[in-house]
Parts: sequence; C-alpha cells; structure tokens
Amino acid sequence: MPGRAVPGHSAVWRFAVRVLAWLAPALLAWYLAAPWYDPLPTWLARGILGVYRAGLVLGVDPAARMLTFVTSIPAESERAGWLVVEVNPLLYTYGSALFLALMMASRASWKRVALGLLVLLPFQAWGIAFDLVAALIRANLVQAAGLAGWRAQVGALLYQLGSIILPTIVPVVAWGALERRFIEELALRRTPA
Amino acid sequence: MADARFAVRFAVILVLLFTAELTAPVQHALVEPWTAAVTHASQGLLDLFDPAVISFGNVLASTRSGFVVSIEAGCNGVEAALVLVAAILAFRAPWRPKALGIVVGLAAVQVLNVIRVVTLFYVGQWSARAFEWAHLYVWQTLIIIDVLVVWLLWMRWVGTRAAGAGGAGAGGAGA
Repeated sequence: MPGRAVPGHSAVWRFAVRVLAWLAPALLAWYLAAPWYDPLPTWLARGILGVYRAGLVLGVDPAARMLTFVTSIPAESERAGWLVVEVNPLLYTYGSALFLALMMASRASWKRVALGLLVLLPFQAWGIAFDLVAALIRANLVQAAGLAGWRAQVGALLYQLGSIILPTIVPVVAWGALERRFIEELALRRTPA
Repeated sequence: MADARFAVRFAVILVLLFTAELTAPVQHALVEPWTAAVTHASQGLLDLFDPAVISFGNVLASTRSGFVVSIEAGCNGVEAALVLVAAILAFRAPWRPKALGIVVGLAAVQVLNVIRVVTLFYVGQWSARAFEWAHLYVWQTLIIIDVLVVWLLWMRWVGTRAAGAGGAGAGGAGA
C-alpha cells in the first residue's frame, strides 16, 4: 500500500496529548454513566456464569455502584439464607473511559464509538463473572460452589486475565481495530492512496 | 489479512507470556525479585526528598505517617511490560529493531511505573478515596497509554528505518 510520508514522531506525541486531554472528561462520563451502563455487563456476566457453573447465581442486586450476587451456596449462619458476594463493576468497566479517550483523540465517528463500547461489554462481563468465582475460591468454597477440578483452575486463570490484562488491553485493541487507518497514518507513515 | 495475523500473533504471545508469568517458578525467579527491585527503586527516588521512607520486600512504608503500601501484581509493571513485548514481537520487523524496542520500551514503562508508585505513596497519605481512584483507574489507564505510545513511536521508527533502507522490511499491523 503506497503512501506519502507525514511529519515525524511529533504526530504520535500530539495524539498522546489529545488522549490525555480527553481522559479526564472520559473518566467523568464513565463514572456518571455507570449506574445505567453497568447492568449490561452484569447481565452478560450472569450468562457467562450460567455456562461456567449452571445454578451458581440466583440473583444480583446492584446498589451504590456495587453488585451483590446472591449465590446458591447456603450461608453458614443460624439464619436460613444464601451466601452473597460483592463485586465492584467499576474495576472492569473503566476501560470504557480509556476507549472513549482514544476514540475522541483519533476523532472517530460516534457510530464507531458505540460499536466499540458494545465490543467491550463481553470482556467486562468476563471480569465481573470471574471476580465472583475468585472470591469463592479465596473463601475456600470450591466444593460448596461445585467448582472442584478444572472449573477452579480455569476460573482462577480467567480471573487473572480478566482483572489484570483485559480491562486495559481490550479497549486499546478495540480502538486499534476500529481506527486501523488512523494508526497507519500515525505510525506507519502511510496515508490512504 | 496482515492485521488479522498480527492480532492472532499478539493474542497468542500475550496469553503465553501471561500464563508463564503466573507459574510458581517464574514468580519466584523473576516476578518477586523484580517487584522487590521496583519497590527499592521507588524508595531510592523517595529518599531524595523524604528520608522517612523505608522499604522491605515489596512493601514501602513511611516511618513518619505510618502509611504502608505493598506492590502487588498489576502494579509492578510486569503485565504492562508483557503487553509491550507481545506487541513488538507480533509486529513484522527485523529482530534487531525488535530487541532495541523491547529494551528501550521496557525502560520507558518501568520509569513511569516507579513514578506511579511514588505518586500513589503520597496520594494514599493524603486521601484514601483519591488513592483508590488513582490506583484502580487512573494510573492503570496511564500505564497502558504509555505502552501504546511507546509502541506507536517504535513502529514509526521501524517504518522510517525501512523507508531509509529502500522500503523493505517492516509492516503489517493494526492493533
């Protein structure tokens, strides 16, 4: 794909400055929108948990920006009830703000922004779902939750990936996939022929 | 097509590196000593203007305020480094620029990571809520932006070299 050269490294630095300038408003928008946005990955997280271990989650109660999952594990107390696990969905959705900042900095269309945010959802759901699983593993409830064997091993790995790597990587990859031409112009010294 | 190949290579390399990082031998041989080194480097920087800061293992502590933080997975810069290494290795380019990109890029990521630790150490003594925000959301985002910028600069440098050498060599990526 032939192209003409564009100015040196300064184009990358200008882009970096624009990303940083957009980051604060993007974080503010993400935080303010969380009560309306979080139900989407939460709903998907229930679906993932249903596949991973059917019947593990009886319900989920979103309150004060925290998710309270009601599990099918009997609570160890004198009162009858089910064990509940709290998950902070913000830990897995803040990548939406990063994605928004990257898209604004590359002057992407709103259609692409919306498409990208949809792409992020399953990965954010992954993080939420396996945060719950990790909490059960940490509490030595593997047997009670029916997670013995491969489920616990796989659950632990998926939690690590979903909590440490994916929240920041997926937004960057989604941005890269949607703004491929921008990257080519920016870093590969190409402009559309 | 080249973009798809890059994406697959990047994902495979990243998952392999990350899975290897989680194994006990790699944790004991590399990650734990590295985390201790990051802690020590942060303490060394802090010591320039605050001699009340001490470090032991992966723990930083202020003998004046009693504030203590431990540097854990996700904050030691290892995962960000793995992302950068995977992105550089997955990109089609000669090995020498790749090696140079990894060395210089890792240095850039680790310098910012030490700055992250130092700033979080002071933000934590000022406000627990600000610490939570800075630690969990803001700095995580800034570190990955650092990785992205380093990778973009490296790609541009590789492209310039290739153009200077007659246009052959590098190419074939999106993200």
